[in-house]
Amino acid sequence: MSALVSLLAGSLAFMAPLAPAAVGGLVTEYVGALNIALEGFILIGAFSYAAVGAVAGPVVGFGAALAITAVAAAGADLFSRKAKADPFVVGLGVNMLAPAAASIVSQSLFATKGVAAVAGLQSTLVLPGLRISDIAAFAVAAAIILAIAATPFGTRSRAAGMSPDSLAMAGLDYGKARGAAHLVSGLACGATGAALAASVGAWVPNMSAGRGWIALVAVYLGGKRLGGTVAAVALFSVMLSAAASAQAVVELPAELLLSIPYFIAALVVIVGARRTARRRGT
Amino acid sequence: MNIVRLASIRKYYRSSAAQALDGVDFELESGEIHAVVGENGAGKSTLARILCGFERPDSGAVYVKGAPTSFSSHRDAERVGIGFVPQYSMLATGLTAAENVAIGHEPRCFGPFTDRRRASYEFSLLADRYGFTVDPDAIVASLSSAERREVEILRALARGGSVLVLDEPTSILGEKEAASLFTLVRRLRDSGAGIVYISHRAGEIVNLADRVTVLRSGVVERSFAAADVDECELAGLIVSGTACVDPNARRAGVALGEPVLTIRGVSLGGRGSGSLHRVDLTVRSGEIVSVVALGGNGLESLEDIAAGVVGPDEGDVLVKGRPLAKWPRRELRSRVMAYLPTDRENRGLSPKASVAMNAVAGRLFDYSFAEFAAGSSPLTDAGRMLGEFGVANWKGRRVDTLSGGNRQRVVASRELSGDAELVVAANPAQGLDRGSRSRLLSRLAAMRDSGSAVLLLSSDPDDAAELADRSFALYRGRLTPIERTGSFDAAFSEALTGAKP
Repeated sequence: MSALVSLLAGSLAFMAPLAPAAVGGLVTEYVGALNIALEGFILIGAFSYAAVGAVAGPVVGFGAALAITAVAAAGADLFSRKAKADPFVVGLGVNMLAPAAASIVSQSLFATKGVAAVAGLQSTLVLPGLRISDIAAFAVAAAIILAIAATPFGTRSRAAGMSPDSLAMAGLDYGKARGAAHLVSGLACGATGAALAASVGAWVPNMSAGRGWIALVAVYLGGKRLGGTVAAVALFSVMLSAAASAQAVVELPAELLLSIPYFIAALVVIVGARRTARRRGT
Repeated sequence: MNIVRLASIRKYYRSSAAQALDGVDFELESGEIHAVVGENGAGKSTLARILCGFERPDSGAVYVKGAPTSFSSHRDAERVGIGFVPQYSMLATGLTAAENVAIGHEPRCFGPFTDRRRASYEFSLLADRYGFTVDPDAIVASLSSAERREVEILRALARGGSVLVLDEPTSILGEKEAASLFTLVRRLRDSGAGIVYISHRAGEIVNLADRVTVLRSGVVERSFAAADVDECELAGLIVSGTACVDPNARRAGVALGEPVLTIRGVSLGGRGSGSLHRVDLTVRSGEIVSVVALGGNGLESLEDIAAGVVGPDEGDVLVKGRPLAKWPRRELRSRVMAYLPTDRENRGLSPKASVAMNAVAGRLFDYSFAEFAAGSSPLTDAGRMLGEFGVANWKGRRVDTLSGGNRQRVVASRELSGDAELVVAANPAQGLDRGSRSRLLSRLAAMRDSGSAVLLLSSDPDDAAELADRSFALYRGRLTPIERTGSFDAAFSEALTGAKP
C-alpha cells in the first residue's frame, strides 16, 4: 500500500514539471514549427526562478520565469522567421546557449558556476510529492490545454500547421500564429523550469535533465494530439517514478532503468510507422 | 455605379522575374458577372489576388464604391464584402467545415472560448440559404472535392458577399456540380452581388458572363459585353491563333494490339464512396480508354491502382502480363509507363528542384557521370522536351516559381516525350488553357496512333468525348461502359450520377 502511494506521489512529482513543457511543445507542433529547444528554455525558466526569486521571493520568481522564458522563446522564433533561419538550427543553438548563459549569469549573481541554493525558494509540500509550485505548473498546463482545446487560438494554430493558406483566407498572418505558439511554449517551459527549481529550492546546472526531450517524445508518442500527449506524459511520469523507486530494489544500472521510457517510445513510434505504411499500401 | 475599380495596377514578381500586371484597369458593377479570361500566366490570378487583398500592387489604385482603398490583408477586403474562392483548395483539412468558415471570426462564449455550437449553427444557416447540404461538423479531409468547394464558397460568402471572386471554379468539378455552381452564381448576381469569374473555358463564359475582359501578358487586351461574341470567337480571343475546329481528329484504323494494362476484379476498400468494387478494365496498345467520374466516386483510387501507388485489396493489376507490383520501378517508369498524376505538385514534380531537373528526372540514369557533371546534355534534352510543350523562360528557375498550368506542362514534357507503351493520364488537362490543352490531347492521340495504350482518367467528360475510343463511367466505385451513341452526353450524365433512364 505504501509502495503504491509512494509510486503515485513520485509520478505526480515527475508529471508536474513535464506536463506544461509537453503541451507547450504540442502547440508549436500544431503550427508546423516544432520547438526543439524546450530543454534550453526549461533551463532558462529554472534559472530565472532562482535568480529573480532570490531577490523578490518565490511568487514573483515564478511569474518572472514565465515571462522571461516566454519572451525568449518568442524572440528565438522571431529571429528564425525574420532571418529566414532554419527553426531547427536556431533551436539547437538555444539548447547550447541556455546552459552557457545561465552559467555566466550565475557566476556574477551567485558567485558560483555550480549549485546555488537560495533560502526560502523551496516550495512547501501540500501532499506527498506535490508542492505548491507543482500545482502552479499544473495550472499553467491546464490553462494551455484549455486554450488549445476550446479557444480560437487552438483552432488557428492547427489551421496554421495544416495549411497556411487557410489562415491567409481568413486575413490572418501565419507568422503571428507561429509567434504566438512559440510564446505559449516559452510560457510552458518557464513553468516547468520554475517547478523544477522550486522542488529543490536551488539552481542546479543542467537541472532539466532531459525533461525537454522527454516532453518532445511525449508529443510524438501521443500522436501529436492533445489527449495522446497528456496520456503519454502520464505514462512517462509513472514509468520514471517506477524506475526511480526500482533503483533501490533492483541490481541494475540506474541509466538502464531510466532509459526504459525512451525504448518504449521508440518501439511505439516504430510500430506506429509500420501501421501507417501498411495503410498506405506500401 | 461600380462596386470595385482597379486603376492602372502594376505588379512585378521578383521570384519569377515576371511583370504579372502592367497597368491594368478593371471595373466591376453590382449585379454583373464579369469574366476575366486569358492564357496561363496572363495575370488573371494576380488580378484576383490584388482585388482580394492578398497582395498589394506596386502601383495603381483600388477604389471601393468610388473611395480609394488599400487592403493590407484579405481581412480588409472581407470587411467591404469581397470574398474569394481559390482555384485550389485552401482549407485546413483536419478541421471541420464550420471551423474552416469561422476561422478568424470565431463566435465566443464564456469570455475567450469558441462557441462551437454557434459556429456550426451559423454554418448551417448559411448553407441552407445557398442550398448546400455539407455537414458543418464533418472533417474537411472526409469531404469530396465538390463538397470542399461548397465549403470554400460558403467561406467567401460568410462575410457579406457583395463581391465574389471565383478563380477557375469548375476546374475540379464535374458537369452536374458545375451546373449547380452556375445556378448559384446567377442567383447571387440577381440579388445584386458583383461576380468576378476567372476561367478559360469559353463555353462557360458565353453562357454565364455579362461582360468579358481579356488579359494578355499583364495588359487588358479587350473588354466587351459577352452577348457580342459566340463561343468560337471567344475561344480565339482567349488563346490567340487557335482556330475553332473540332480537335476530335479521328484516326484511320490503327490495329488494336495486345493488352498492356489489365485490371482484373480489383477491389480497394477503406475510402468511403471512393472505394473500388470488382473493377475490370483492359487497355490495349493503340487505343485510348477513358474513365470519367465525378468527385468522390473512386477516380483517385483507380489512379492509385493503375499507377501502382497502392496495391489492390483483391484482384490483379498486370502490365504486359506481369503483375504491376513485380516490375522494378525504375524499369517500369523509365521504359514502360508514363504517368500524369492529378496531384502534380506532390506526386508529379519536385517543386524545389529546377525545371530542367524535373524535366529530365525520368532519364537521369541514361547520363554518364561526366555528362551529368558538365550539365550541358541534360540541359539540351530538357530544352527540347520543354519546348515541345511550349514551356518558355525556364532556365535557372525552380518549379515552384511556375504557374499551375506551366507546372503541368513540365510534367507532360517529362512523361510524354518518350514513347511509353502505357500512359496513365489523370485529369491531364485540368487547369490548362485551351492551347495547351489541345496540344496535350493531340500528343496523347499521337502516342495512341504510334501504338501506346492510353488510360485517361478524368473528371471532365469533354476530355473523354474528344479523345477516347472506349469510355467508362465510374460511379461509387463501379465501372459502367458507355455506348458510343448519338446521345453521348445524356448517357454519360446518367452513368455518372447513377440515374437510371
